[in-house]
Amino acid sequence: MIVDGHVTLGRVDGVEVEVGTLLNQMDRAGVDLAVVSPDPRETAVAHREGHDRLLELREQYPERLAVYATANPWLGASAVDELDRALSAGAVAIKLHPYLQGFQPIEPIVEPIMELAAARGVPVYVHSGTPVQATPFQVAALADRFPGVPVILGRGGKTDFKADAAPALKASPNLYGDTAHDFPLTGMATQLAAAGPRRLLFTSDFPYGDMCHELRRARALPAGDAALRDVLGGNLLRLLKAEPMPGEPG
Amino acid sequence: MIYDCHVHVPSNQGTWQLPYFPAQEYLARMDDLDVDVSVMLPFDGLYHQDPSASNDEVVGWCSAAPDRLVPFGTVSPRDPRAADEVTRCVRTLGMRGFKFHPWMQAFHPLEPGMDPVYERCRELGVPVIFHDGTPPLSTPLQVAQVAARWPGLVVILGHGGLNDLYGEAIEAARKFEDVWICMASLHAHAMRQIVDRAPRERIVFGSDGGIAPGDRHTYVDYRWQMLRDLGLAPEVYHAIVEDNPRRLLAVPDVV
Repeated sequence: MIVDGHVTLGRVDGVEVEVGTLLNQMDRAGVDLAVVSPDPRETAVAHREGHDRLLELREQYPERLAVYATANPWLGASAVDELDRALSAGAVAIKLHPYLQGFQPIEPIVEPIMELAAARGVPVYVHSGTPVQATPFQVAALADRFPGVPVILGRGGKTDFKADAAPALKASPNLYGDTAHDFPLTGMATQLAAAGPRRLLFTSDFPYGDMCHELRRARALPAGDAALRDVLGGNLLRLLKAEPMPGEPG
Repeated sequence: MIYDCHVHVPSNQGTWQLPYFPAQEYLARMDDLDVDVSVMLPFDGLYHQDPSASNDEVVGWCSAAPDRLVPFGTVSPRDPRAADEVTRCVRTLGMRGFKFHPWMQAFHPLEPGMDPVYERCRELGVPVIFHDGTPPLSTPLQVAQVAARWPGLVVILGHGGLNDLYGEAIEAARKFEDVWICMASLHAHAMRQIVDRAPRERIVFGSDGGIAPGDRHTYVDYRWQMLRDLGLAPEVYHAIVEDNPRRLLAVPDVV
């Protein structure tokens, strides 16, 4: 089963990215399930709107889509409440976007959200790679403070913080690498060597990444069949505590 | 005639632990991918205080196919003789432009020590290409200030802002008429945004090849496929890979 660990639906740079476009890319690429994030506006300020929109889409395509919940940590208790509501309504993971949401991962305001993730047993995807707010070592520091929460290093620090990804992954056992925008013999292989095959996740970052291209490159990762199955879906399914599809090794 | 405007020559000194590859090997890959001309950017020269030896090596490497491998040089931003090296590169070595990488070379694009270098490049009519897309020394609008200060000097944003600052690159190209965008190492969405919103006559493409030579340079193949699969109208595609780079690299009369 191929699982794309991070895509976005909604309005991106003034372009409306429709679910039909996503499903079409998934069919062309051969992706079974995609975990969908709210769009930038919904990520920054309109959380409930984003969750309701995506959870409704998930109702329509329950076998193809899963949903990230996100909330701005500056909202304090109401952020936690909205995340809790979205997770109860069917969201499967939390996403944080330090630069869109205006915080550094090491700031105490993030802690209540991480405590919720720990209590709920869900992973947290954190966008990374954009200083001053989302460097890989900041994300790793957050992961270190919450060792029971799987933290996904979104975009693996790319572009120019990609060299931080491997040492961060090596030192933080609950930090997960991300294949998005990477290449099999360079960044992907480096992340794989640092994290091992159980802590690297395929994501296309659609619509920023082209899903067919991203998956084609991830499939070329120099790894054995079992490791590749983990990277392309097995690892994330385990994090989401989903059961493997019938006939799939998981 | 298809142009790739952002390719790296190999390191002779094992920089980044990358293996050396001969020009013939890269030319064979260009043939496979139907690329006729590659702009070859210096690599070792960005790391060493006196890049003149690297400039010689770049030209030597490109001499395997002078009509297909276009050499760009670099100079040390704080070397008082840097402008003279610009002249030597263009007049003696036949170089066609210069590459600067502010964070690797540790300078601000507007550092006064660079003024004679920019002035000489403008006099000689050769473009400068910058690494861009990464703060604190290489944001597109920082780099574009070089074009603002030196009207007539062609300034190429070598990465079109990379994955997070492509919006800045578009803004810079719209604002300054001598700013060009080279779409290198961008994600698909950023390339679409640039093509839709930046001046089309000043967009070129680069594979960023040479820095991932493994497996017969498959990286270059991936990058070209990303461009081809954007589904651009044929006239737009040809402007980006043919017409625009031909104008960009035209040998000026003053040389």
